[in-house]
Parts: sequence; structure tokens; C-alpha cells
Amino acid sequence: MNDTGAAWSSEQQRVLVVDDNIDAAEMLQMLLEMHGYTVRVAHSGNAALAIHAQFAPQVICSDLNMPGMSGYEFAHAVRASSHPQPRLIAMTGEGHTADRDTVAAGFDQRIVKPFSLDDMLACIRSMFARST
Amino acid sequence: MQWVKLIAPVIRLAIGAALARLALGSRGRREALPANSDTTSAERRLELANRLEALKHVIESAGIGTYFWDLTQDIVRWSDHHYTIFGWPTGTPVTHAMFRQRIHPDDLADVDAAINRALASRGDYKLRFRVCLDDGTIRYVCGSGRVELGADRHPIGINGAVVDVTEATQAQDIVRQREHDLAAIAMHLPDIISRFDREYCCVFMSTRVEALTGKPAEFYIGKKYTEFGMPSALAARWGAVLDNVLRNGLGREFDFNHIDPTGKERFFIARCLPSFDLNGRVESVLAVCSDHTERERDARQVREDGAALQRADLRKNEYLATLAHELRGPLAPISSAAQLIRFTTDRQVRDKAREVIERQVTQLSKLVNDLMEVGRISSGKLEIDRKPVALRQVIEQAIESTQPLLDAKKQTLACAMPSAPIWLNGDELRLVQIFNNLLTNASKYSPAGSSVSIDIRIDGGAATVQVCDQGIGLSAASIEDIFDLFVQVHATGVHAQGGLGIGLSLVKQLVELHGGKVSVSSDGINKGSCFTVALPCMEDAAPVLEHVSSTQLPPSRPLTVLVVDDNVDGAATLALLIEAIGHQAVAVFTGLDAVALAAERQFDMAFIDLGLPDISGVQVALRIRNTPTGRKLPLIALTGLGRDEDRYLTRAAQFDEHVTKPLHLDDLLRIIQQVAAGAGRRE
Repeated sequence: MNDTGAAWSSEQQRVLVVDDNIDAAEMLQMLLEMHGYTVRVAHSGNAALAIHAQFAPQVICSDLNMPGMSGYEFAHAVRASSHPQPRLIAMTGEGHTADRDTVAAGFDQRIVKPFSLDDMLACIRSMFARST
Repeated sequence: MQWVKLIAPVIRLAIGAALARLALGSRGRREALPANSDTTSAERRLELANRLEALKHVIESAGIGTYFWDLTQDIVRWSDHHYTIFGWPTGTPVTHAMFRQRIHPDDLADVDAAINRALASRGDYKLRFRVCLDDGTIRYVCGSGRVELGADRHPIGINGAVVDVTEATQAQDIVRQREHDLAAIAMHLPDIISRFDREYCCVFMSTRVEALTGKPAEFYIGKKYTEFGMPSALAARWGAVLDNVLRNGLGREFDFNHIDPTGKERFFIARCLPSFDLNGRVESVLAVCSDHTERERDARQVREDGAALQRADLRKNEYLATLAHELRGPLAPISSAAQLIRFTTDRQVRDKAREVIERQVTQLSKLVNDLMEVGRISSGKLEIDRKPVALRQVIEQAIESTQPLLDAKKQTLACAMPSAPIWLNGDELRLVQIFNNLLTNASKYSPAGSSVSIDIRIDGGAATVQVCDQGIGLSAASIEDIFDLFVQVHATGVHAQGGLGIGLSLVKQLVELHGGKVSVSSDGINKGSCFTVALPCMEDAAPVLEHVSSTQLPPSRPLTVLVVDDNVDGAATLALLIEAIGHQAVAVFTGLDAVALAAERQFDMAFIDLGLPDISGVQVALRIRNTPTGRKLPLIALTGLGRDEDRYLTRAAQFDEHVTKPLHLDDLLRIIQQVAAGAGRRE
């Protein structure tokens, strides 16, 4: 089931999901894998930075409020790193989170929880389209 | 005295005039001699007479009476105005004895002494005395005189003047009385009242000053403000204000702090007002210093209360924002899991999705329960039901409910507990809640793979339970308010870490309700935290309590269950669940349908939602109870309302049990099995 329609083959489309809610991260991983993406998950900003360095995802979906390093700080760290720059999607539970905050932190897109699978897939596809 | 100064020049003038008159008199007597003087002398006498008349007019206009007391004949000659002052008709022959009769008895000795001294010294006298008239009127006069000497240097008479100073004296008495009254009033006022003259010297100070400075009022009189011993900055302010009032004649106000003799800081407001003389010039400054310490303290309290309210309001807003976030958190995996179930037929994936839904629904339920606790905490309605309870059992239950969280993060838990049983007199449910909250926090704020420890000790008559983690730790500032309601840990100082900020406040409340204490320590950010709960132990071992789990209940017979809920999905899924565990269920979505159906068919029990659109669940229960078939029907209130007053209402409406949504499978099994065993049926 590969309907991503991007320039990469399915195994080349790498997504990193970052969420301290383990269930949330794993469910999204399973859904994205069902749609042909190669997915890794991390449950903290620090773990995600390590995976980012090795896994080189084109898209990262990150929660914002996490213990320790927040999603904002994680995005800053990614943007400051010398590794290939991915597209960053902020997954937020706060409806009032301002776009300017996420944009300032380095995110490309913001999606409010709980999101439908269609919305998330559309968001990820647009990120891959912009990456080509 | 002021009046003496004022009239002294006038008296000197009068004496001069009297002398002139005397001289004229002698010449007058010479005038009686045969007229043999030349024209020049006549002109000179006429001129002198005119001058004397003019002078006499001036003297009488000034209210001055003149006299000459001829000692050789004891005859007293008075001017017309002197007669007026002493209340006798002009021209009445007067002797010194008659003069003395008019003098107030209390002043007579002074007058005699003054005259005798003047005669003995051949000098002057001057004094004030009172004159008593026939009609009882008393006049104040100022009398003065000079002894006249004869050729042999012996006194031959006294000439002088008297001035009626009654009005001035009375006015002065009024002023003196007013000053006395002011001093009396000032003494009883809490304010410090003082007066400064144009030289910045204190001329009046109320006695109140002593209580506030430790120095008596007399200390200040005659001193400049710079000599009061004030701090130099305050003295400079006083100087500027006094100067301004003296120069501009406008009142000024300023405030200052002062440390009283007891070391207490006091807050004053000083009002400085100008006092004017007859020429409209500022002659002094009246300063009233009011002690506003209490008012200032109240105002400060109001400001602090306002700030506290603002902080509370801010916390509430943060709380609401966090609540939305926390509710969305579990909704996201539930939504994903539901979609996974839709897209896959893989049994393992579906099982995994189901587990996620169950776990996140539990999390959502906990959030809602925490919300309910907020209401109980803030209204002080949190109550505990004390019974003997084994601490081991409490800790094991808390661990059991936290284990899934620890497992999910691959965290290890080490528990050290004494082998001897420890008994507490407490509410088992609430005690479990205490340690469940602490363990949940430990897991939540610690990295995956870290370890959490529980260490239980007996210390005197108390059991101490220490829950330690290797998590994000606490700053010194966080430790201070970590147990406050709605306060969350801000490890990075940028974003909240999630959670409603209720858990630890609830822990503190519950521990204190059990007569215990909770404290926290941390070596700092990212250095872990240790929460210590101390709870009083029971001395005697309690009887072994029976813990009956649903699995120990006997298998139930098939039942027919009525489900009433206007949420069609809720009613339908509960009916499906009941059927899935081997019973029959009928779902209806309105209260009236439920009442009608209960009258038609025989049910074994009914789950009734309270918030129905047509008639309330309470009405449904009461109407069912009024039917022959419904009188003994076990009724279970299934509701989102879990407050004490809601439970009271359902008890009053003859419900058999009150269960809050979501209904857990264990609870459903327990209730159904109780009904099947006949335990839930009303007698």
C-alpha cells in the first residue's frame, strides 16, 4: 500500500515520530508503516536527535510538550545540526499554539491532536513533495 | 509679655505728655499772676497750649489715662480718660486710698509693693492689675509711673499713665485657652501635631510623639528639625517641605517611614499647613503626622491578595490550556488505534490497538477523576473513610496500577519493605491514590530505562515511604510550590511538562488528612527527586481484611438488562458488552421509553444514565420504583457526575449503585455477578 506519490521509493521515505506518549508514537508508526513509510520512533528529544543523525529522515513528526527537551528545543537543535535538514511537523495538543511559535522554532507545519489519518498523511505527503 | 511691649512706647509718650501738662500747669498758675509778660511770651504760651491740647487728644484717642499723685497732699489728679477707666465721674476728687479701693483684692498687694519699690528706689514701676467697678465689671489695666523728686531729692509725687488692656487681655486669654484646648486635643489624638516657626524651630509638639520616638515632647521644643535626630535623608525632606510652605504659603503633604522604639516600622503621612499673621505673612507651619501603619498594612494586604488572585487566575488559565492538551494527548493514540483496527485484519495489530485504547481510556478516566478531585480539594469536601489497612497491600495495589506505565518505558522498580506487617488507620482507596500518584510522577518524569525505588521504613510511630526516581529533578524554586494546586514542573523553564498540576496537591491533602506529612528533595535539575511520605502507624495488628476480586465471585446466571442512555453509541456498546459476556440487553434512548418498557417487561437490572433529554434518570428511577415490577429492580446510575452531592441524589432516588462513566469491565462483571447472586436486589 504505497500511495505516497513521492519521488522516493517506499523504503527511501523515512519518517521519524517523536512523542513521549509511547502509545501515540507506536500507533502512528504502525499507521504510517501500513502506508509504506519507513518509520522510527523516539520518546524524547535527546533520543530523537541521536536517531536523526543515523536514520536521516526526510520528515520528522514531533510532539511539542515532552519531559526534558521540549519539541521546540528539539526543532532548534535539528535546525542547528550539520545533518541533512528534514521537514518538521509539530504535533500539538494545544489548540492555541501559535503558528509563529512553531515556525520560529523551525517547524514547517503544525497539526493539532487528535488528527485524522487522512490529515496526517496529507501533511506528510506535502512535506515529501516540498522536499523534492 | 506681648501687651507690655506694645503699650510701653505709648506709656512713655503719655508720661511725657503728663510732664508737659505739669509744666503747663505751673505756668498756668503763673498765668494767674498779673499780666505783665510781653507778646512773645503770650504767643509762646498759646502755642504750647495748642500743642498740649493736641497731645491730650492723641493720648485719649489711644485709650491712655494719665495721673499725678501729689504725695505732699495725697491728692491724685487724673485725666478725663483715667476717670473713665476707673468708672468715676470726671472731676471726682480722688485720693490714693480711693484708688486702692478700686484695685482687685488679689492684685492689691502687688500694686502696693510695686509703688513702694519705686518710691524706695526713686525709680519707675510698671505692672498689670485688675480694676473692679461698682457694677461688678473687671477691667485689666497696665499701670506705670515715675517717682518725681523735690529739690531735696525726696519723692514729692508720682506721675504716670494707665492703659485699659481688657480687650487685649481677654483676647490673649482666649488664645491661651485655645492653645490649651489644642494641646489637650493633640494629646488624645493618634497623630503627632507640631508647629514650626520661621526659624524652623519647633514651638509646639504633642505628647503623642513620645510613644513613637521615645523622646518627650519637651525634647523637641525650641529645637530645629535638624536637631531631632532624624536620618539625614528624612531631615532633608522635612527641610524642603517646611521651606516650601513658609515661602509659598501653600500646604504640602508627604509620607515617610519611621522605626519606633520597639523596632517596629511605622508609616506616616505628614500634612504641613501654613499659619498666617495679621499681615498675611506665614508666621509658622502646623505639621500633622498621621500614623497610617495599619491602613498601609491593610492596603499592602489587599495588594498582596490581589496579586495572589492574579497568580491563581494565571494558574487557572494555564490549567485550562493544559487540560485541553492533556485530553487531546490520549485522544490522539485512541484515534490512531481506531483507524488501525479499521485498516487491518492482522490479529496482533488489532490486539495492540485495543490495548492502546484501553490504556488511554484509563488515562482519560484518571484525568477526569483528577478534575473531580479539584472540586473536592477547593471546597474542602475531601473526606476519608478510616479502617485498618495493611501498608503492604496499599503499596502493592499502587505498584500494580503503575506497572503498565513503568513497563512501557522499560523502567525498573525496586521495592524495599520490612517483613513485619505495618498497619495504618486510613482510607485504603485514598492511600493507594497517594502512592499511585507518586509512582506515576516518578515514571512520567524519568527517562526510559531508568529505575524507580520505593523504600519503606518504620521510624518511631510512623511509617515512612520514600519514592525516588532518576528523572528531571526539581530546582530549588520548584520545591517551594510543587505541592500547590495547578503547579507543574518546568524543567526547562520554557514549557510545561504536561499533567494537570493536581496530583501532588492531592497527595499532600490526602497525606495530611491521614495525619501524615509529605516532603520532597532533589539535588537539582536532571538529578532525580525523592518524595517522602510519613504516616502514623497503628500499634496493634489489625484483623486480616478480605479482598474479594471479581475473579473470586461465583459465575452468574444469564440476566436481562435494561440500558438507558441518550448517547446512542454509549447505550449500544454497553448492550453489546453485556451480551458479549453472556447476558441479554435491551437499549433505549429516552427516559419515558425506559419507564414504559420497564412496566411491560421483566428485567433483572437496569443501567440508567442521569442526564436524559426528556425526564432525568432520577425521575426514571422514581417512576420505575412506583411500578409493581420495578419496586425491587436493581437500578444502577451510570453517569458522568461523580460529586458527593450527585451520589447523595441517586441514593435518595433509590438507586442501588452509582457508577461513573466510563464503566470498566471489572465493575460491570462485579455488578452483574452481585445481581445474579441476589446481592443487588432490594428487599
